[in-house]
Formats: sequence, C-alpha cells, structure tokens
Amino acid sequence: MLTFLTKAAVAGLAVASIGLATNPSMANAEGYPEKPITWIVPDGAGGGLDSIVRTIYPYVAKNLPNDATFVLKNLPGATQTIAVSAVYNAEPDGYTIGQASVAPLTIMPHLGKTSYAGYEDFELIANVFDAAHYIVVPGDSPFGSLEDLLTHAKENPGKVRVGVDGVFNVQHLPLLNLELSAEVDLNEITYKSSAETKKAILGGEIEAGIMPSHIIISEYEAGTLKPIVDVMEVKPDYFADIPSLKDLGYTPSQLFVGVIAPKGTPQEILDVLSAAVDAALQDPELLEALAKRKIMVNYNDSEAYLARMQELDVVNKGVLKDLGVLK
Amino acid sequence: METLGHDLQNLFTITNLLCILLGTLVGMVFGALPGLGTVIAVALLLPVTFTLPPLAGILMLLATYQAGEYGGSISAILLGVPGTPQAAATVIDGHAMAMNDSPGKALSYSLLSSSIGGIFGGMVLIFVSVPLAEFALNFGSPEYFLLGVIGLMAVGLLSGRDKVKSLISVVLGLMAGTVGVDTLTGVNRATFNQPELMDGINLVAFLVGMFAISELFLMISKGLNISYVADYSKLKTGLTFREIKNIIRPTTIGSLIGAGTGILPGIGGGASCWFAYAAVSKSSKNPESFGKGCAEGIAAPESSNNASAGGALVPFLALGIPGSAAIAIIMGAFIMHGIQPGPNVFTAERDLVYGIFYGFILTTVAMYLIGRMLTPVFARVLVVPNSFLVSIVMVLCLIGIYASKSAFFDLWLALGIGVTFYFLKRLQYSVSSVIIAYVLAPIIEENFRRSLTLSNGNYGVFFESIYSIALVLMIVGAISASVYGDYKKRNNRANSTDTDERIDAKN
Repeated sequence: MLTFLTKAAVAGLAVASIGLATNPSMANAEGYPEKPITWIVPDGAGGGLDSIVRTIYPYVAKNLPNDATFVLKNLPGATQTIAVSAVYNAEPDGYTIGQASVAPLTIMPHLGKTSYAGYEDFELIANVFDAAHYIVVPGDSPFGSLEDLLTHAKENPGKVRVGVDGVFNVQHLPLLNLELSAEVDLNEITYKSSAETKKAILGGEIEAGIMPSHIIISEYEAGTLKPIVDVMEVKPDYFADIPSLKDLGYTPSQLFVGVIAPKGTPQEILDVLSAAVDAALQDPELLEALAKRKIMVNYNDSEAYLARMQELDVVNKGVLKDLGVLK
Repeated sequence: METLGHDLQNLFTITNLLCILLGTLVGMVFGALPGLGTVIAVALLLPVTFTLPPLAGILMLLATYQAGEYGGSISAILLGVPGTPQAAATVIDGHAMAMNDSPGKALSYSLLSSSIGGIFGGMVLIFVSVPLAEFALNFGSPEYFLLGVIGLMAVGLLSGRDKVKSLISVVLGLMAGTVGVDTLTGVNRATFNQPELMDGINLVAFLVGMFAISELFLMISKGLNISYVADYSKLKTGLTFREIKNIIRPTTIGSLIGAGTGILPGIGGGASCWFAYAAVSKSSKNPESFGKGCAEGIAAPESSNNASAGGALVPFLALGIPGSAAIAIIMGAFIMHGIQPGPNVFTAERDLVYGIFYGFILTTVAMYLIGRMLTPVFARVLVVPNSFLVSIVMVLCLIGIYASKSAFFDLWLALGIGVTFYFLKRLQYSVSSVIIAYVLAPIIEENFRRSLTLSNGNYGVFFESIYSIALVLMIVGAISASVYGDYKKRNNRANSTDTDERIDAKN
C-alpha cells in the first residue's frame, strides 16, 4: 500500500513537473522572451539576405521587452526551403522565427519539393522589405520599351532570348506569365545567378534578362544597361519613371521578404514580435543603413502580409497550372 | 606621378596596414585549416568592416582572400589535405616533396610562387583591368563549355599508369557533379529526397571527405606511433638561387593561366590550378619528375591560384560581376558602404579604386612576410606524432564541414565519402581526376545545354566566334597529338620497354 502511494506520488510529481516545465513557454506573452530567440536565416554567412538580417536584428531586439536577444542560425540552400522547413519543424513557442522570401512559400510547395503544404502552414509575422526585378536590355538595344520587345518577339517566335537566374523561381514565373498573357514565345535562358545573367547581356549572348534593380544602377548610369519594365509590384525611387508590368496592364509578380513563425505560435507573442519589427523599421538609423544598400523597406502587418501572400499564391499556382507542372 | 603619390599617402595609414595584417593572418590560418577556407574567413570578417572606413575594410577582406589562397596550400603540402579547392593541385607534388624531401622547402616554393602570382594578378588589375574585362565578355556559354572540355582533357595528363582506373575516376567525379537540382529544368537528380543535396554535393564536405578523412584513415592504418618527419634538418625553409631559378618558368606560366582564368567569372581558382599544372607538366623538360615532389609542380598551381585572385577582381570592379563566392561577399562590403562596383566606379570612386589596386599589391607583400615568419612554425606540424595529428585534424575537419552550411547531413556525407576514397586510394585510383571532373562537370554540362538552348538546338553555336573556333582547334590538336604519340610509341615499343606512360599522353 505504502509502495503504491509512493509510486503514485512520484508519478504525480513527475506529471506535475512536466506540466510546470512546459507550461510557461506555452503561456501568455507576459514574461516573453525569457531566453534567446532563434532567427533562422535562409542564406549562408556573408550572403545578401544574411547581411540584411544581421543589420536588422539588433533593432528588433531593442524593441522587444525583457532584454531580448537573438541567435542567428544560417541554413542556406534548396531555394530557402531548408530554412523554412526548419521553421516548420520547430516548436511553436515563440523562440524560433525565420526569414523567408516568397519562393519557398508560394512556389516550391506547388512543385512538390517541400515537407510543408504552403504558406498556410506558418504564422506570418510581418513583411520587412520588397525587391524590384527588371527586364533589362543592353544600352544599345533596338528595344526601347517592353512593347518593342514583344512586337519583335511576336514576329520572330522563339528568337528573343531572355535570361533568368533559375527555373520556376521569382524571375522565371513572371516571365512565363507575361508570355502567356501577351501570347508571345520567348526563349528563356537559365543562368545560375543574376551576376551570370548580367555577364551574358553585356557580352551580347542574350537580347534581354531579368535582374534585381540594385545590381544594375551603375550600368544604368553609365548607359550600358537599360531597364525597360519592372516585373514586380513595387518600384524603387531611383527607377521611378520606368513602367511596371502593372502600369502596362499585365499581371505583376511580387517579391517580398518577411518574418514567419511555426504554426500555432501564441497570438500574443506574434503581436509582440510584429510590433517590434514595425518599431525597428521606423528607426532612422536602421532606415539609413538599409537605404545605403538600396533595400526597399516595406513593413506589412501580419494581415497585409497574409493578403499579399494569398494573392501571389493564386497567381503562381495559375501559371504553374497553365504550364502543366503543378503537382 | 603626383596622383600616385597622393594615392599612396591615402594607402599607408596605420588603420589600413593593421587591417591588411589582420586580414592576412585570419586568411592564412583559415585557409590552412581543412574545410574552413577563404569563404568562411571572408564572411567572418565582413561584419568587422562595417565600422571601418571603406578602403581599410575592403583591403582587409582582400588580404584575407589573398592569404586564404596561399593558406590552403599549407595543409595541402603538409598533410595532403587542401585547405581550399584552389589548392587541390598542390597536393600532388607539394605533399610528395614534404614527405620525401623537405617540408620546409615545399612551403617556401609555394610561398614564393604564390607571392609572385599575387603580384602578377595585381599588375593585371592595375594596368589592363578595363580592356580585359571587356575581352572576357567575349567568352560566352559555348566558350565556357569548350574550356571545360579542355580542362577535362588535362586529366589525361595527370592520370597515373592505369588508364582504365583513371577513366573510372573521371566518371565518378562527373557523376558526383550532376547531383542536385538540374539548373535548366528544375528536376531533382540523385538527391534521394534529401533537401541538403538539392544544391549538389557540398564542395567542402566532398573535398574534406576525399582528401582529409580518407588520408586520416590511411594514417591510422599505417600506425599512429610514428611522426612524418623525425629529422629536424628537413624543416629548413631556405631556397638557393639555383632552386629559385628553377621555378621561374612554371611560375610565369602559372601566373598567366591564373590571371587568364580568373577574369572569367565562374571558372576561377578551382579550375585554374589544374590548367596550370597540366600546362607546366606537359611542357616541362622532365615530365617524369611530376608527381614525385618536383618544385615545378608546386610553383605552377600556386602561382596560378593567387594570380586568379587578382584576375577575379577585374570583372568584379569593372563590370560588377562577382566571379566567386568569396568575391560575392566582398561585393557585400562595397554595397554596405554605398559603393556600386561597375563601369562608374573608376570615375566616381577613383581614390578608392586606386587605393584598392595598390593595396592589393600590398596584401601580397604582407602575405609573403607573414608567410615567411610562419612557414617554419607550420612545417613543425609534421614533427607532431600521428596519434595527436590525426585527432586534431579530424576535429578541425568536422568543424569546417559543419561551419560551411550548418548541416549534420554533410558530416555523414563526408564520412561516407572518406570511407569510399580510403578504398579508392588503396586501390590506386586517381583522386585528383575525381576532383577535376567534379569541379568541371557543372561548367561543361550547363554551358553545353545552355549553348544549345541559345541556338535553338543548332550545334553551329560552337563554331560561331573566333574564340570558340580557336578552342575547338586546340582540342582537335591535343587529341591528334596524343593519338599520333600513341601510334609512334607502339612502333617504338620494341626499342624502349621502360617508357613512362606519361610520355604518350604528353605528345
């Protein structure tokens, strides 16, 4: 009898201690955070996105309560899906968040290459910045506008070569979508990076290419490269007078990078984090550092972030379905 | 000259010199540690540069980059484990010389030729960067494909006596090079549903597995109670005038080839060291001494990988096209200081660019001086008993592999590759053939398929420019020379029974 009681007591204590041990982390945002928060970066140390996150995170920490600290974890590779999968598999306790672009959330899942089903499997905390990608032609190109290029392409199907930096990615899908809606046949040439695309355009190997706006500023000023249309929705101020696909009546794509958390992270914690990102992105010191690097800061709260994600997901799904690659 | 004086005044500040020294030290040590390498060293120092003036920060990263290229050869020579992919060719003769003759001398040869290569690269940068960058644009996808094929043919020159084994090694390397998402169609190839394999086999894991882990197993199987070098006189690092004269020719060829491949973004040092090694061993007066620890075999790849560092800055500064992972990170430092590399940088940031040019030469000088001080220390590594050496190197390898991508998967991968290559080495397969094929496989495959996409399937694309025609002629010439040599050798077989197999590949 006594032994039974002891056993029961021990078991009871054990259960209670487990409960106690796990409870605080599940609880409200009162004491949050009480330990360092892991921020997963889908880029190698020293890479472009890595350096952006490394610039931003101290300002986010500054705006969190309880002397919050972050631990940055670099998980590069596989179009960011390794990092996003790590967020997916993490405990939804508010101590793991991740940076993610749109490709791992609205493209890769539809290609059947991820363990998660899509952006629905995450809590979207806040969007941080946008990027603009332009269709670029050499400075001496006969094409002065998108219309010139499309007219020429209609007369010469498959002859106009356009470089992109990968297949079924944020550059390739908008290009395919443009071909579908403008009813032209372009020859898409895949390179490994925008640096390679740039070399190919300058070397005259291709007639046009898609490149992020910030790497062509110097060439634009020197007149060796000419951006003719922005394929994304947001425009940087230094290219404000160049039209976007939307201005010309085509469906634009979007490229935005935000902060996500595992599904089921308590709402109060998400609100704390979202507010901290918002406050950080209003810090003039941070804004100056990001402006120097031509980063287009664009804070969206979680609702707006979700709405944009939903909209883009429909567009991307549509393109992939039309092409017959949707799994 | 007035401007030169002005530039030099800006250059020789305490901050700049200290930054160059710090960068050189970090680069050399990280380069020498298997698996860590140049990219990680540059990434590590990148945040430090934010707080520095632009010139000091950029020179620190360039010093790291330059010294890392040399540091990789230290472990290649002493342990047979290249610290960086660019030092893989140095293993062949560098390690052989360290084992058979003198580790101190091997390191001195490597340091001297690296420094000359570095200075040469710097000169190229100062005098001809703009025209050269424009020239490099003539090399498109078809030319890259043909260059890759020429590189693969160089394997024939490096292969051992057994042609069949050499061929198997090449096929293994090519197969390893195709793993991952196909860049042109997005299809997964041999990834076994491992997301870690989607970007291909991690180069660091591959390199460390095949060179380092397999070598450690070999050391263990030979017994741990020995050390490589018992005779301290072998640690002497001095070179005689005659010895220096010997490496003039290979260093010149290596520097030219290194700068030439360096200016082509995407080919870089990893391939240039093999091009240089093949060219020098093919044209040498004593081709039979290659592979047994000859100085020429060290000088050629060593000068080429440092010359390619200077060459790689050409398209980066003049066109804003980073040619390698390390340069891409250095580009990050430029952008953080609000500087856009590209056509305008020479006018808009004139002081900075010329500071970088002359500073780059200075990084080479710093590399030579620090290397000179450290080589005797490094050479002593081989006095350490193998029981200690094996465990230390093993730990460094594991750290290096994990640091490259923070993936545990890569550790297991490297172990598997290490075990495989332990057996391949014992069966006398050529490890260098595997690594060249692995490095060249994506260059050959992607550019071949891209060329055909560009031409809508027309093979004429490979004969369109004078550069591609010249490359095709080189390939045809090399094949016919080799066939003719083989034919001649068969006729002479009765006369000479003891001919080295190399000769038939030679001509």
